[in-house]
Amino acid sequence: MESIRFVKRLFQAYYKDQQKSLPSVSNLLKREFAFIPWENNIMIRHLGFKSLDFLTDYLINNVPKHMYSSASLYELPGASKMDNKNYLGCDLIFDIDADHLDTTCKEKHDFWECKSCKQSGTGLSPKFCPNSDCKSTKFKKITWICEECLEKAKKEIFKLINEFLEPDFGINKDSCFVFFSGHRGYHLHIENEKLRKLSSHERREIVDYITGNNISLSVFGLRKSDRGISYFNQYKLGWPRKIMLKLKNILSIENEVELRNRLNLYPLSKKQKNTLIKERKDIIDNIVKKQRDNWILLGFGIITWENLLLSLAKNIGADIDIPVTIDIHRLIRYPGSLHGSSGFKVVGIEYKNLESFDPFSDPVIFSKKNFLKLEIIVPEVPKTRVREITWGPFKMGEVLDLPHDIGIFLLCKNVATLK
Amino acid sequence: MSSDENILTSKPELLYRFPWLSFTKIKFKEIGKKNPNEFVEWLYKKYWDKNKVDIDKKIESIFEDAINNLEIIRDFSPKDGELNIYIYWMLKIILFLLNNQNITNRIANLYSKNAKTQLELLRDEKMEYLYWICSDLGLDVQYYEYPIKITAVEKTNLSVHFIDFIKMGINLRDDYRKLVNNSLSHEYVFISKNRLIRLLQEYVRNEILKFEKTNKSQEVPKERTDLEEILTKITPFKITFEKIKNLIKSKKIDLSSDYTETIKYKEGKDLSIFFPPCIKFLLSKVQQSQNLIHNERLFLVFFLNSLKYPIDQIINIFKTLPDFDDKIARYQIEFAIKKGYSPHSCAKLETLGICQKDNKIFGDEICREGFYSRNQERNIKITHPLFFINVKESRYYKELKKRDINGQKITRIEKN
Repeated sequence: MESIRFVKRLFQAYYKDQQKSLPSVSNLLKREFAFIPWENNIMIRHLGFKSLDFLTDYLINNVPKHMYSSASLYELPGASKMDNKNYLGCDLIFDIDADHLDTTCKEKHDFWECKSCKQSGTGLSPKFCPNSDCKSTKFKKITWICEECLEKAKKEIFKLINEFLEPDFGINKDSCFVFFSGHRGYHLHIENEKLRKLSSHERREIVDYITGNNISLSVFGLRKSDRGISYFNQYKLGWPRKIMLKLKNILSIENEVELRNRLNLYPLSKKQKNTLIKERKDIIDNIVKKQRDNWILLGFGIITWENLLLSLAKNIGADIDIPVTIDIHRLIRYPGSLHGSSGFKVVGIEYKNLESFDPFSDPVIFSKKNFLKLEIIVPEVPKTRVREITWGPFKMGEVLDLPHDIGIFLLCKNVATLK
Repeated sequence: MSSDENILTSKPELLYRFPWLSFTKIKFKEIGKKNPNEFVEWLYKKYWDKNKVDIDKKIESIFEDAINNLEIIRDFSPKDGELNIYIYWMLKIILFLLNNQNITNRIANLYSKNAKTQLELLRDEKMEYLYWICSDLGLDVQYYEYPIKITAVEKTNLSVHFIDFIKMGINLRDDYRKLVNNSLSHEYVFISKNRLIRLLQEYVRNEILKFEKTNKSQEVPKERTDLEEILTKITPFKITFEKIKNLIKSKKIDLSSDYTETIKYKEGKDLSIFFPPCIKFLLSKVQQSQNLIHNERLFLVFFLNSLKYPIDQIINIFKTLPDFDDKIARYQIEFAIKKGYSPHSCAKLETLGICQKDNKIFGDEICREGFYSRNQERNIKITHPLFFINVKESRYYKELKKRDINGQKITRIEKN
């Protein structure tokens, strides 16, 4: 409890400091607000504020652990029942969460501990405890963040904007509001009156487009014909073009070892890879020059083509958290607020600054000059960079004198306690 | 293309062919301004006095076609000129008075199919007609003088804004209508004539159904009785109206538009109160004679079959569908059952656009938020419609048990 009181005091000092500079969301009066306190995990929601001043007063007086505002606009955001709020529309939101991304670093920095027998391991927790005498399903999980996973999340945001939102949906990158969530990823908000009116089902269509879900290759023209496999080329707009350009790019890799490595990512047998490599010039010609309307490749039936092209599509799609985009009553972290699981600030980033944004430095608001003493309370804390210094790894029981910037992070991550 | 070139101003025959175009209200605004009773009186008089056209028969024939699920309006010819527009307006008045969603759906289906047929006849004419039709309906479309190749064999002069494209096709959901399978570039979907016509067909259907939805406000019942009282004073209208009501009665179409669940069977056990929102929604559509797409039909069959509903009862459910054919339905349902597929998971239902967790009428908090399991000490999400039934059923009996113990109703059993 002492640790919580300490962190809460620092959060309060931050909110006092922000009294006149906390950013406002658009249409503040029409948004619902929600908070999670430090003392328990029960969300306090259905709140509306008359102005930013009332909101900052609330923050200073209550100092929540997490703070959210609705992506939706309501006539009566403070009504206690959803049906009484009078829904007006919802911003289009995308969430890229490092937790959902396929990164190898998870094996290094995420770990679990069985609540019953204390057996532990790295990576994602198993369904059942591997200890044959235990078989419990309850685990304590510690998920971490590192440069690799947040860099991957940033790349996905770039992919989302540059390969989908701007070229296909015509959404200018300057009208995309990007936010670092303060912990594991990025959010992208689009505030547009026409988009706000889309229902959840209609948003699903956008999600499917961006992820490549529900692609029908037969609609694109891939089918078995008398003369082989009838295919589509790069001149067909939309997804067919994306898939064909990807295939062309891969097959254009000149170095054969590199090419083989790339092909290893796709569901192809050794023989099929050899065929692709051998025939690649011909395949590229077909894609580019529209010379033929059929593919005849040894070992490549319709199923092989389908598997290959759908795998390419999966690779092309942006890895967004689907439920966030289709949910029209979603609560999203409030810009300028602090994330209670990291102590980092939720930061708005202009597109032009996104490349240089450093998630381990730019959102850090606590001092590197003030120190605190704490003790590590979990078996292992992975290496963590905050600002320019990389800390750790730390082991259970270590007592450390650390600056506030990393110290608060460790307290918020619940891996250390004040000594 | 600039707005002063609007073809609809110089080609009234397009309005006669497509009476649902909004430009009809501008072109015939003097008539459109009339009160319903003035309009009805004027219509009967004008066409009887001048041309001896029997409005009565024309309208009755349209209702017959709708009830018989025909693909076209038999007595429809662009040569009838303005009359097609007035008949369309008149139908809307009658549908308002009838207040029967089942009939409205059938008229909507008929008019949409008729629209498709008429639009297809335009195919050899200039594509710009389609541009003006779309613009008239308020759709954001672009016209290209030189056609753009969108597949190996198809070219188009038209593209539709992606939001309009999504909205027009959202109830169709087959692979061809999905945005991901279309040529999207810089906000616009390049769309072939055929596919655009199919979307316009859906648009026409929804326009008539939209009218049905606005028909539900609290003031409407009084408005309806008042209007009926006034209009039935006009003798020819009274005759037409009575004939239509008799026709509906004779075809045994339920005049009540209220939704009631009628399937109550699972080895003698009524499970319908535990049905998930997706199933409730589909059943309400079926009962209102709204069309179900292939995936919705399959899901409904798999679901009911998994609860061991008898095949005859499943077939009965589909009898109200616009394209119902007993033999075909029986064959398809038996085939689906023989395959023994289990109903789709919630994730798949979301993908197919069948999930209704957010539906205002049928949506359910358990679907949206999951529920807290005390045994497992965590929140559990609903991942399958059958799981939903299990949860609802078990909560129901727990509540009954608690009610027995405490002698009073407990409104909230578990804290989420």
